[in-house]
Amino acid sequence: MGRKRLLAFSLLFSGFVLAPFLMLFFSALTNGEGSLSFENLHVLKLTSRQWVLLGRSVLLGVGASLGCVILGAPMSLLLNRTDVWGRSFFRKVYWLSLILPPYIQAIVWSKYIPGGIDSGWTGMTGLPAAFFVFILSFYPIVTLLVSSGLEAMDQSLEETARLHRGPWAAMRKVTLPLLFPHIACGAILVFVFTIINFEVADILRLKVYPLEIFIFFSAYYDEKSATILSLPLIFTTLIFVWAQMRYMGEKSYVNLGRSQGGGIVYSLGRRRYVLALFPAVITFLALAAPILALLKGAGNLVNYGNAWKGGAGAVWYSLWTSAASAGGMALFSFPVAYCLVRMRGGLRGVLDFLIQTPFGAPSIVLGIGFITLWNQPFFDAVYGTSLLLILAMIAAYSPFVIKVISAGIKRVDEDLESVGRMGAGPLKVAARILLPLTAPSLIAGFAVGFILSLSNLGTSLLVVAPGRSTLPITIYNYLHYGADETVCALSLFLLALTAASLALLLLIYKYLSGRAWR
Amino acid sequence: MIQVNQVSFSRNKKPILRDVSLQAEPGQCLALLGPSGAGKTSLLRIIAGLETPDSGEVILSAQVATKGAFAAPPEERKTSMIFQSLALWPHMTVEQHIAFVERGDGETGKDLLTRMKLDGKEKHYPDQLSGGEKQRLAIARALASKPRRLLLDEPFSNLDEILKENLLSLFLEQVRTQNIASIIVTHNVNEAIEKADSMAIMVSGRIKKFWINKKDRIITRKEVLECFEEYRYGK
Repeated sequence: MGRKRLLAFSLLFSGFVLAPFLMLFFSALTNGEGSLSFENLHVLKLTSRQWVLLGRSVLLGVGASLGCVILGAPMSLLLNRTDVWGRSFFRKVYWLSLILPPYIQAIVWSKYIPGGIDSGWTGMTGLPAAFFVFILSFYPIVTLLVSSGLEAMDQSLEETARLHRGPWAAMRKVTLPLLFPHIACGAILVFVFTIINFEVADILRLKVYPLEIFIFFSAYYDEKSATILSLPLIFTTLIFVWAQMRYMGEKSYVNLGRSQGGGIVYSLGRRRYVLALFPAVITFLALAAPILALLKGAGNLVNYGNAWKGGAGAVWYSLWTSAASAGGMALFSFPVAYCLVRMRGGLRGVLDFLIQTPFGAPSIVLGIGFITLWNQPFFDAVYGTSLLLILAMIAAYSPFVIKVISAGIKRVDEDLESVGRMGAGPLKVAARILLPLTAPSLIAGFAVGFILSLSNLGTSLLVVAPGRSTLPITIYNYLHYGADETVCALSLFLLALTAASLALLLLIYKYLSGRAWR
Repeated sequence: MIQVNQVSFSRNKKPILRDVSLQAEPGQCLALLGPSGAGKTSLLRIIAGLETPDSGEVILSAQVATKGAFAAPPEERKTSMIFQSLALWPHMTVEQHIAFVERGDGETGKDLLTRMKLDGKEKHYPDQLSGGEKQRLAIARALASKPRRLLLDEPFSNLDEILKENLLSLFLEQVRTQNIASIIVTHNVNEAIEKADSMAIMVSGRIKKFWINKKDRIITRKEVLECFEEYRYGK
C-alpha cells in the first residue's frame, strides 16, 4: 500500500473516530425540523451550581495530577536511579495496580477496607477521598512515563554532569529538566483521566461535572443539552491533549525493547532500607490492600460459586468483545501509527490531533455520540448489537494503541524498508520486514486495548447490546443492589482475568521481542 | 598524571578488561587505539569514576582514586571527559553549560568561549549550533572545570578531515599549555602516530602494545597494523 493510500486510510479512520462527536454536535445544533438552530446553546450559560461542579472537577483533576507527580516521579527516580532495597521487585510489581480500574479502587476503599473512606477513621469524604482514589489509581502512569524517559535518556548527559558536580546537583540541573516533558505529560494524562471520570464520583457520592452530563442524559432524557453541556469539558481536555502533544513532541510514551544502558545508579548506603518503605507503602495501598480487602469481602467459596452463576455470561461476553475490540484497534492503528511516524509535514500534526480527540472526551459523551450516530434505520445491523460496543471501544482507545505501536515503528530504521523496497513491493516489505520487526509493539498495543476495553464502564453502560452485560456493568449493578460478596467476587474475577491475559500477552511479547531483535 | 595498574573489569560476568596497565603524563596526550569492543571506553569510564573495576587501581596525581571497594566520586577527580555523542545538555545554553562546570579560579568562562570562538553564541542552545561549534562547546565545557586530566572518547569521529584537524590541534594546544594529562580514544592510526605523545594498542581487553614517549623513536603504520592482524577481517 502506497503512502498516499495509507494517509487516506488514516484520515478515514480519524473520520470514524470523530463521527460520533460531529454527529452529536450536529444533532445538538439542529431543531426538530432538521434546520440549524442555536437554541440549545443557552445550556452553555451555566448555572452557578454547574460552575461549582465544573470548578470542583478541575480542582479534582489538578489535585490528582499534583498528587500523582509527587508520588510517581520520586518513585521512578528511586527505582531507576538508586540502589534502594527491593528495587528489582518493586519495579516488577508497582505498575500492576493499573489493572485495578479507579472504580474498583473507589468501591474497595469506600466499602470494604476497614477504616476506609466511609467508616471514617481517615476522616476522608468528598474531594479528599476522590483525590486519594485517583492518586492511587493513576500514579503509575507518571512513574511509567518518567521511567520511559529515564530509560531513553542518553546516559552520557547525566554522566558528564556527574564528572563536575555531585549527585543532587546533577539530578536537579540535568536529569529533572530533561525529564520535564515526561513528568508534564504524565500530569496532563492524569488530569484528563480524572476530569472526565464520573464512575468514581458516583461511587463516592461526590457531585462533579461529568455526573451532571450523565444526569441530563439518563434522568432528563435530554441528550442535546447533555452534549452542549459537555463542551466546556471537551475544550478543557483538548487544550491539555494539545499541550501534552507539544511537550512530548517526537518522544515515545513507552519504551519498547532495550534501554540506553541503565544509566547512573546512586548508592543510598544504609538509607536504602528506610527509603524502601516508600515504594512498599505505596504498592501496598494501591495493589495489595485492595486485593486483600476484596478477598475478605468475597467470603467463602460458596460466594464465588454464586457470583460465577450470576456473572459467567458477563465474563465471557467481556472477554470476547474486549478481544475483538483490541484486535480491531491493533489492526486499524498500525497503518495510522505508520503514517504518524514516517510522514513529514504539517498534515501529520493535524492527523495526530484528530486521532487523539476522543481521548479528551468523557466516556458518557462518546457513548451518547455512538448512540446518536448508529441509531439510524440503515445501521440496524450495528445498532443494538455487540458490534456497537466493539466499535465504541475501538474509537475510545485507539489513540493509546497508536502511541504504543508508534513507539515500535520508531525503533525500526527506515533504511531497512528502503533496502527492501529495492527488490519488493510495499505490501511484501510490510509483511516480511516491518511486521516481524514491529510484532512486539502490536502485541503490546493489543494488550493495552484489551485491558482498557475489559475494564471500561462509562461508555459500555450506554452502548452495550440489549440483554447483554459486561463484567464491569454487572459489578456496578450488583453494587447498587448492595450484594457485597458478589461485588467482591466479581471484582476479583475481573482482576484475575486482566492479570492472566496480561501475563499471557507479556509472554508472547517477550518471545516476539527476542525473535524480532535477535 | 594518570596511572592505571592491573585493572580488570567485567560486565554481566563477561570480561571487558584484563589486567590493564598504562600511564599518561601531564601535558601529554596518550592515544588509545583498538578495534570496537576492545574495552577502550570502559577503561576511560573507570578512570573517570563512572565504573568500578573488579580489581586493580587507578592513581591520579599520585593519589589513589580507585582501589578495592574504594572509588572517589567522579566530581572529586578533577577529570573531564568528552563523549562520542558530545553529551551537550539540550535544555542549557552555551553559557549555562560553562557555568554548570566552572570553577572559580583562573580563566573565566567568557575568556574560554572567546578562545573557542564561541563568543556571541552564549545564549544559543546546542540545536542552534553548527557541528564544529558543538564540538568546540564540548571542549570548552571540558576545560572550564580546570581539569587535571582530560579523556576523549572518539569525539571527532564524525567530522570532516579539515574540521577534525583544526579541533585536534586546538585540543592538543590546551593539553600542552595547561599541563593536562589526556587520553584520546581513536580509530585513526595516522592521527595517533602524528599527534600523540604516547600510544597504546588495546585488543580484547588487554594492552597489546604500549609506546611511552614515542617521540624517542619512529613508529610506523605497518608496526601498528601488525597488532591488529587477527582483526583484519573482523573478529
